Amino acid sequence: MNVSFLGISIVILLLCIPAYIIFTYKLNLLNKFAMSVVKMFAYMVLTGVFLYYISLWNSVLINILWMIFMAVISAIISVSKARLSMNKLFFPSFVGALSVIVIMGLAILFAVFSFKNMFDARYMIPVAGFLAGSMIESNSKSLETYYAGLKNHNAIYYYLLGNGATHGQAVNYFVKRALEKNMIPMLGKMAYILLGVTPMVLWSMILSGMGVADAVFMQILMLSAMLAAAPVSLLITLAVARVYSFDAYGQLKNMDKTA
Amino acid sequence: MLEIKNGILSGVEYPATLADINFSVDEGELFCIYGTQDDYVTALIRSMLGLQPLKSGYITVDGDVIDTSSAAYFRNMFSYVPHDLDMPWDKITDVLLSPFEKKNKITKKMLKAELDRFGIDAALLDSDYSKLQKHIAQLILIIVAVLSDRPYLIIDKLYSEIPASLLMPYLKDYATEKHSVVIVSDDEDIRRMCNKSLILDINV
Repeated sequence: MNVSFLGISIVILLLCIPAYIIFTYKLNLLNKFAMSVVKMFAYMVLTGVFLYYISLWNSVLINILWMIFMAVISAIISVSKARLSMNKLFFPSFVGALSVIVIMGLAILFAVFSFKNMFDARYMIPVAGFLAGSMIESNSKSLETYYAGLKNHNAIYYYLLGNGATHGQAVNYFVKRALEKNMIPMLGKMAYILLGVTPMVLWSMILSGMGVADAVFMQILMLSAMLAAAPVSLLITLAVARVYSFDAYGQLKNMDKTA
Repeated sequence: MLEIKNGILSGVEYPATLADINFSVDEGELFCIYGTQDDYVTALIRSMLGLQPLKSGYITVDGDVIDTSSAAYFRNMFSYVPHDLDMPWDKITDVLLSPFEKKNKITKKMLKAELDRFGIDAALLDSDYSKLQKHIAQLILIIVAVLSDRPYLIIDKLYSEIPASLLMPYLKDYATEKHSVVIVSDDEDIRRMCNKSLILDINV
């Protein structure tokens, strides 16, 4: 497939359609539309540049550095969207994201491409990106829920601790709520992903020479990984975050963004 | 024996005129903390439970200091009944599923028998927790704490609707069975019925 002048013209034409509709009907969406188009181009150009060089070099070390970079980005966006303290939560969130990207990512690559090809940039980079991206929204919402619960509705926490429960037992209710918040959006979006995204990905895979059965299997594998990634990452994040979130007496520290 | 020596609470504004906190609660005693300011009372209760440090002074249980390394161990000797009852339970009996270690397995049947002593309808155990009156919920938690049979019982700010004439004999009986009871209240009757008291009020 080559990018032709005609292809670029069609892209511009397609973007003109919603712009024309917004303009004609005087919808109050022009700024949002312009912003999202700019964001899309910036994101795609940057991703393209990165992917071009990473594929060109195709070095295992650089690919692993890419995985780490993805985990850093995922952690920064998750904590920032949750409006929590970056100082206290960046590292736990990074560890959670990195563990999932590395362990789950390598497991997927091994399952599909075997040990021989699993470190190839063509496979490793999209899998890392896909896993990192799938965690961000769920983790930010669940971190927000967890710390807001502990800050504002902590009667059960102190009741259990005061009666001799361990820290893990005392925060269990808040972990449960955070996990619900973590998994519900993902389960809710599944229908959209299956109808809106999967056909595009399947088509791309088949177009690049993969058999239909392999492409479908890969899709199932990726969707399963996506469902597992966010809750596993959250549990690891919360386990690591304990040291940074609670003092020696078990009291929650100030976790606000400004702290 | 539970003892506080030269205690100054942390996390609360502390007027220089207020004396250090000093008291001890022996086995078989009922001790009343008579206070009206919730933040002071909460700070004192949390300090006693090893959930927050004192600014200065120390708290001991049978001569051993409660600090970060020993607090978790000592909390297994305490039963704690809070004043803030904003719990995520469906029914009050969910408390029986709480994960903290209990020497005695408390059953609904045991709770019903105890509620009879207070003349409270046991059907309340099956009602929605959110609809349960706070003083009834606190009373049920006191009963659960008594049935837990731990050496120290700490009750944070008692709801005034709980009649002292019913509760205090119950707690006295419990204290005589080699237990120590600390109860926070702003009720003069409760204070009078205790063996000792501490006035924790900057306005007094």
